Amino acid sequence: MSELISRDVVLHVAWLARLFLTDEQIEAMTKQFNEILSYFRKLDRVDTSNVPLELYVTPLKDITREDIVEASLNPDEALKNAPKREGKYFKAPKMM
Amino acid sequence: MINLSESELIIGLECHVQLSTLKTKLFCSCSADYRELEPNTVVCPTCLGLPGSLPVVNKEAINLGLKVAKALNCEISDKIIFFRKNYYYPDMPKNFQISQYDRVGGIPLGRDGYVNIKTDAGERTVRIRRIHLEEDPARIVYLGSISTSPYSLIDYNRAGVALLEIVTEPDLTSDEEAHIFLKKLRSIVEHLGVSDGGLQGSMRCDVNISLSGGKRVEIKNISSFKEVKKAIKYEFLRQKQLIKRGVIIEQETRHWDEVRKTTVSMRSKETEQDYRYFPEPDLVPIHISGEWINKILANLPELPEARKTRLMTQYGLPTHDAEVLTTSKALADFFEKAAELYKNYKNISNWLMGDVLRNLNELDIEISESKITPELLVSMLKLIDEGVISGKLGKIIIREVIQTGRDPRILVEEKKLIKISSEESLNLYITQVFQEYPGAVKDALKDEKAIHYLIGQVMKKTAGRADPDILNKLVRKKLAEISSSVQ
Ligand SMILES: [Zn+2]
Repeated sequence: MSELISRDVVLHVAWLARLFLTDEQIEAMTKQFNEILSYFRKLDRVDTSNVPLELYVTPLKDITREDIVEASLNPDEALKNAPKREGKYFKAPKMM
Repeated sequence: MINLSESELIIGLECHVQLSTLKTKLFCSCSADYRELEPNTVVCPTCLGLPGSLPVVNKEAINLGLKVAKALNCEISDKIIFFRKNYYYPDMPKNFQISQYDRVGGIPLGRDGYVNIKTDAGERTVRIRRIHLEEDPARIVYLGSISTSPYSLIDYNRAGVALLEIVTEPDLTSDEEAHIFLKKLRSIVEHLGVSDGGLQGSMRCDVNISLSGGKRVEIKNISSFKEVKKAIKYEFLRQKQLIKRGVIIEQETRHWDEVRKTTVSMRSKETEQDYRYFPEPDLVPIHISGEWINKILANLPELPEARKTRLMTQYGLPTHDAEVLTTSKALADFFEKAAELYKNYKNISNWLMGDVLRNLNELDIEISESKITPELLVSMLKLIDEGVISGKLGKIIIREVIQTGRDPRILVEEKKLIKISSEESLNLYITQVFQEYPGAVKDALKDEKAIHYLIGQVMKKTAGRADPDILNKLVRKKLAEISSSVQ
């Protein structure tokens, strides 16, 4: 199986998600990424030259709502699942 | 204003205009009126990005976007598609921002428009590359400064508020031009009734700058249009210094530090492809029919250009006056309100463009932030017309009216500023001055300059309250008397 995703790409994707992986995890991820991608490569065998680009698969369209205010969550409920909070704020690590 | 040859500096702008007249956010029914609220009080599962929640687009946001696109002469797409812009930062709780994209099948709401602006060098066309809808990120609060804070606190009230991103081509060549363009843009969106530029943070801007064909530097985080001019000026001087020292300008992203008024390099962030744009599967395409566009066009309010022409015909104002007054909706509204109360339109315009704008500039506030009202300005103009105060005194008290909003009639009385036009009282002052300056009186018999000097001294004694015409007449009369008695 030819490698589609290199270790460097995995590292880069991990950085984009601000994840710091161990060597073992990187190896496992690289393997899994490649397995998933080669599985989906099967789609490449379908001839799509006559199929127009379509971004949506559902027949739904033109769904909008009116500009009318509805009740928001009460603050305690809003913060209930926050792993960390301070006063009425969500608390998160600082990211630069 | 930066002084340089036209080809040296190239500026493109990326403006973010909040659709602040909307009642709700872009994709949920939370109130969009988030200012001055307790943190996290206008949030719901959708704008908090909770699992299982689904966005539904606010139709009025599309209406407002279409209005702006039309007013900026854009081509309008026949459908609206949203994309996910993926990035990992707590200001977007979903780890992506719902935005629009102009590649891989994406189309922005509007594209290929233009705005004409008037500069000292004449009319210029600034091309609009694209306009799209996206959601505003949350507000992050740091303890102390961003660099010393140990963690970040997040208020999601702003998250999901509708923004219109308006991107220009790099057609601007100076800080002044950028400023004029932004003022015009603000006047347009305010006339359209889609945004109130007076609200804190409702109009923000990123600036792309390149100098002498060097690499493009992006300045992010300029939180008001007013600051843009300063940021450009700073960045221009910084790059110029570097080039002088032989340093090659690298492409980078810098951050505008509003407190220190400098730009600071940001650690290299995500590149375009790192955002992994893809169509937002939770939203469906919205088709923009010709009928929809026609409805928008039929309901388009009067724009600054049209208003300018109307001010000229309706009030007989010169082109220049009409142009200056329509650079701001608030200013044009002020003028028209005053014109309902007072018929010497040119006089209103003169005062607005002259002393009112000058004082506002000096105080660094906008007319909407000042305390002066059309009624108060008119009240002062009437005091001058009635001869109660001189125009010169009007210039002095206008500043106090702007700052305090107090009635000019009361101010005048309190300060005893009423004009002295009684010959009797003026003669008392004149006699005093003539006794104090016998030399000048002697000179004044044959020298016009000395006459002005004596008049000036009387003015000084009356704290500027003497009626200039009567004073002039009386001084000359007295000199004539002296002259004839000497002979
Ligand atoms: Zn919400």
